[in-house]
Amino acid sequence: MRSVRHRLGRFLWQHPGAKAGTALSPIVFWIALFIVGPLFVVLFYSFLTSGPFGSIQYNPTLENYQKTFVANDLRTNEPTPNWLYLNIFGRSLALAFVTTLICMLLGYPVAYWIALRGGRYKNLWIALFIMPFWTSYVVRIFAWMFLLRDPSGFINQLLLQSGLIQEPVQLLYNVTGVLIGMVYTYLPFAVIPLYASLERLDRSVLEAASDLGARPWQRLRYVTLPLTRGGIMSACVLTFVPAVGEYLIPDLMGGSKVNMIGNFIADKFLRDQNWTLGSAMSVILILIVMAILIIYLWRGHRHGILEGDF
Amino acid sequence: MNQEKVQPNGLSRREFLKKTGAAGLGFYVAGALLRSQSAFASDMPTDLLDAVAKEDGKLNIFNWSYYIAEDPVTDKDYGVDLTDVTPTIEKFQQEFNISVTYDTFESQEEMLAKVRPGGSGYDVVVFTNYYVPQAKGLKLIQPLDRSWLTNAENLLSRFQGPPFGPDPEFVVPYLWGVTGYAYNQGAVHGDSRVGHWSLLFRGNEYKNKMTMLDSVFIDGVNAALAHLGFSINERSRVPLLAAGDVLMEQKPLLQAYTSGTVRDQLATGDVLIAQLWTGDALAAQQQNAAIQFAFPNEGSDVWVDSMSVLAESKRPATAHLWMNYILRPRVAAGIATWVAYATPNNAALDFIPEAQRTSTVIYPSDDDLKNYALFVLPEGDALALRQQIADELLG
Amino acid sequence: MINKDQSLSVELISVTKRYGNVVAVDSINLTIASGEFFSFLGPSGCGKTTTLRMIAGLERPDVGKVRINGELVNDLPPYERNVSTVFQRLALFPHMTVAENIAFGLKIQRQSRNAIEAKTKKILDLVHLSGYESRYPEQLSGGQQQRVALARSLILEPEVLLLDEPLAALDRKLRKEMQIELRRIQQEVGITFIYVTHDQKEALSMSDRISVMHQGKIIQSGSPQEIYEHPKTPFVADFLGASNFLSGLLVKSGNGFGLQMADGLLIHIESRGLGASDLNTNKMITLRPEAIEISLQKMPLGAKNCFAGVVVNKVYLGDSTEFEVLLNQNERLKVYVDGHRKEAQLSIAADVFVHWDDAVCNLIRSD
Repeated sequence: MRSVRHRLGRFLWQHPGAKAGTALSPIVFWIALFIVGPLFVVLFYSFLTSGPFGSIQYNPTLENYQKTFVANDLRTNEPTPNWLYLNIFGRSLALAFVTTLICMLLGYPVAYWIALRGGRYKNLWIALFIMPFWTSYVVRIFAWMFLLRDPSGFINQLLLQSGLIQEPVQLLYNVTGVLIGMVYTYLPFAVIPLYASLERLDRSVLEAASDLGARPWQRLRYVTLPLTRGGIMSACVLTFVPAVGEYLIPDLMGGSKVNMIGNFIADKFLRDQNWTLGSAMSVILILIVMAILIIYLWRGHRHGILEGDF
Repeated sequence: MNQEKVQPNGLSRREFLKKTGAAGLGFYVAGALLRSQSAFASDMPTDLLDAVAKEDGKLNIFNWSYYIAEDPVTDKDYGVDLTDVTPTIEKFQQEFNISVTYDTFESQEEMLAKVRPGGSGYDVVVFTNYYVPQAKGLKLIQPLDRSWLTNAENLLSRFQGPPFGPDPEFVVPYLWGVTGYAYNQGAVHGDSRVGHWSLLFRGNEYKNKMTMLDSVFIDGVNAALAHLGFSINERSRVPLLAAGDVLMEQKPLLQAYTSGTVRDQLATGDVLIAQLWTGDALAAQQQNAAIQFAFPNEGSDVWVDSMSVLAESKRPATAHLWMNYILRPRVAAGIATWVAYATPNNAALDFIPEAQRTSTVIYPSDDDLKNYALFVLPEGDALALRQQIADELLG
Repeated sequence: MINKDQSLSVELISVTKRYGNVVAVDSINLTIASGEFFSFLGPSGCGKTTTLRMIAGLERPDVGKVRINGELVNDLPPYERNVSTVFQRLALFPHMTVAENIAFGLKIQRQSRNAIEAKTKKILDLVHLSGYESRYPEQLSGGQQQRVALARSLILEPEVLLLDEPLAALDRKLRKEMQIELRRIQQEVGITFIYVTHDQKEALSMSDRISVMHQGKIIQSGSPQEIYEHPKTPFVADFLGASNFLSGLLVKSGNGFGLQMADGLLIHIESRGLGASDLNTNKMITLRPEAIEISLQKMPLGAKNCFAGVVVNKVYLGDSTEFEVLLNQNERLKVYVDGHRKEAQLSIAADVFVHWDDAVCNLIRSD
């Protein structure tokens, strides 16, 4: 026994690479268990056949992928591109993109203010931002629905009674409602990494820029933004990726009238009990989002964005 | 089918729970008090009690949330005193010294996803009538021993067979209701379309003030078929496609497809007309007296939630004991009163508070239901077509 | 040292800055002439950096006026002031190359590409950094980074260049080089340099004029020599180098004055600035250790003050040796002896004489 341990110790001492490997093994194990494992199950299902009543038959097939992209027309029964899936996919990407954009436009000034002007209350401000997470996500969405309803919702009542509007505005069960919900939900995901990168920003670099004649917006453009690009990248990824797969907000705040790909896929699994088709659609969703991420990160890397992360 | 069961004064938390996965919280009461098997037990066949004694004294139940008497039904709150049989589970445990684990689900789909793969560990599961054939087809449930269900004679005859009895070989009716629509009397006063589906499908003047249930492939298509003069169980392609067209035309008029929040929005006046189930409409009515319920003349579905025993259950006798217990008139009355849905138990009606028994929303007249039927979930093309219509509508 | 012919560059008029209850800068009045190399010298927390930041526009005075070239600038943000700062932490833009860092100010001013290139090239020559244009700051040594920071400010041709302990992070040798370098550049470009440091040697070697600050106040301003040789307070004397402090009663001594110490020693001092009214009051003098000589015999004729003593301590300092000599069993004097003198070899317990000229005794004039 002792000699085995001794020899193993010597091997690791002589091969630092292998040592790093063993040190990383908890991470590798974690990733395998919680990320690769479930994905593999989805991938496996996507190649199987669905039987009656949602049973699964172990006949390997590519049919689910074919059905993801080609569907029989409801009326003519002719094979056509699966416009429904593609449209909803496009809508999901567009909604996630707009959500990310709004989160950046709202989140950056907030993070900037807290990081640079928050003073000794910085941590309190950030805590306030995270505090909604202490209550259930669903409860918060319901609270928003109570605020947004027309005409009985608080916001409509406030606008009507202050005379700013004559007719109630529809803020729920449309694109506006879904966007409000998504921006609200993902804003903290944007603010936290932005705050972290702004927090780390060397204040004297900002002072130097002003001192060298940069007006506030010039300083923002040439110094602050480039130096917090790492945070911006993280914030975009952390907002965009979960936003694409959002399910609850379109269901509740969109009133099932503005659906996203998450709802479509959930319907395949639950309503249609078609786990194999749902899996194939999930695999395609994951692949496309991954491709977008890789292109984004690769371009960011090429433009020195990652170097900007100090 | 996203059916919602509510207690009259309570706010259903179905939507809160639906996606959080918190639904599966067990209701486990250990250490049941030992009580002598009272005279009640005489309604239980001796061979059943013998068989129960050979099992392990446990029972796992899976039901809709807020669908059993969770509190004592007192005279003060309900106008009848049913505290001898409520809370239901506690009283059952006390009488038979059985340890019950009670879990809840928020939708039939959620329940199926847990039960279908096997190994869920449940003994008694509540299916809505249209999933019973599927449960049978998948051999999820086992045939019942009718000789053990001595209290089944209390059931109304129309729930023991046609027209509304779902497969008595396999299930025991628990509670029932109707899908129709609720409307705000003040807003639609004098509209001749009240009582007809055309109010919901052609009510252009109520644009953005109407909602349909979110289980479009069942409730939406059913309503559209009835509106067009077809049976809700119509399976041919042309009528189904026509129903799809009607739903597509209706979509711009709707505020949302929803079930979770609509009761409250009816009460506040945000929604004027909403496709809904009877019990939910009653809850809205209690908040806002202007809310009425329409049983559309063209027809709709009566649904029946029923208890069944899973094929894999190792406690069939205890499961039967539970079902026969539920069939006791006072027990059934306790549940129906607390949940505010209709009981199929004829003998139980005597114990139900006057206000509920006489409510035409909970207990519609035979005339109201003359064009009504149980919905049978189709298989194959007709099902695929319904799903495709829903996809297109929600896409 | 203010030459009235020179235009005024920076004026501070009763400038005060508070942070909560702490007064960082306490009613400072100061005039700095154009083209001067001016230093603020003081320990950390004395308010020197705050003063500099108020001139830069990075802090706003609570009370008082800041004028640059006669113009009141209290309300001007930093980017509208024609001053530039070299920060202690350098604050180079890490995402820009050397050339981009240097051209930053010009780019902000939207100068033409050609102008920017020409000026950048010129300034790179000035700070000896040609060939490093496309490096990033992290690829440079400390001294090179220092030059980039300097070039980045100088390229804007500011009226005043503010330097906030720019050499603090450098090692001793590099520091010496950069001191010379800074002085050369200042003379070449001829603009006002305002330099903040806590290193008295740095201040003394580079400055035209120095203000010594302590607890938010300017204690003494003057040329390096004036300040070193005639400190007005014990603090200034002590901060600018080692000093012996001797106090006693002012008495008449021959045709001059003397300090009669409690233990009986009488120290002759210069009569400059003293009058009859000062007689019989307590006074203090400071005496630099290097101004005192040490010998084995009582002899030197010129020295007005000469006392016998015994060496009680000795510290070898390399270029010199520090002795502690006990006079009259009571007074300890610090004496520096150049390393090459034979007296440097004296050992502890040796009997010696110490002597110094009355002119090197600096009388503390104020209270």
